[in-house]
Amino acid sequence: MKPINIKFKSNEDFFGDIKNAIKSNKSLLQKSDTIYFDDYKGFQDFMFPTRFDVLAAIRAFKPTSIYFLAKLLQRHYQSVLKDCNALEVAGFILTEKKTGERNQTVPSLAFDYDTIIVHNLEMGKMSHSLPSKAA
Amino acid sequence: MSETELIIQQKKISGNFGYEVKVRKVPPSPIYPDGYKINCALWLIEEKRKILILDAHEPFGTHLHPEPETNHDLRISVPLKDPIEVVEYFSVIVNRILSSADYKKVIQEVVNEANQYQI
Repeated sequence: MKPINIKFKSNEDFFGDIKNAIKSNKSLLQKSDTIYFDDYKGFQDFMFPTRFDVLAAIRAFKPTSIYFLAKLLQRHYQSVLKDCNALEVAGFILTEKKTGERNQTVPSLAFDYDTIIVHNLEMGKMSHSLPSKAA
Repeated sequence: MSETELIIQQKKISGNFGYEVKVRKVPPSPIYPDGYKINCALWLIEEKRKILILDAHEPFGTHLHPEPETNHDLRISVPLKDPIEVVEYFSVIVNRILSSADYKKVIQEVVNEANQYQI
């Protein structure tokens, strides 16, 4: 299992940790497999209902363009592009522009993970597995 | 080019925004005797577009880029030198934007406030 980790921090803690690291002259480098949100609801609102499907389709089908990804998902290109933008800024995916006739943008997972682990939940830990093959 | 070492990098997603703070250790300089270089960025995630940058580095000092994607040469000076104060200032801007329905208005207010301190 190769997970990407979802963790939660209030803004007070997020900026407080940075200030403490400066004060104590300590390193504070975020791992590339960790993404911070405010809380579970913030993560849920970010990921559902559409972006989890986008991630799962990228993993399962390895689409050669966002246009093709939109076709797979039977959604409008612009809305899938917005989802890909958000997933990329957060650190879930990367995109690469291929120059050529169509100037395609190719989405891929940020690294080869197959599970999203949600940490710090009061109930413990929750994971969402990404399907590895098309159903 | 002076040697720099990335010592802090933290990013977070909140609503429609993403924000990141990077701190590099650099050789001490007249403006930053503690030897820090700070880059803070705020994104509109669905557009993958930076909407505000707060930088603290030589030779400009601490400054805002209120139009980072379209006019990176536009810099608004901010009279802060201490790295903790710079991070605190960015956190205040982020919290104001997150609690507002109009991020453009908040950025304009922040620019207007910073302009009041220009010499």
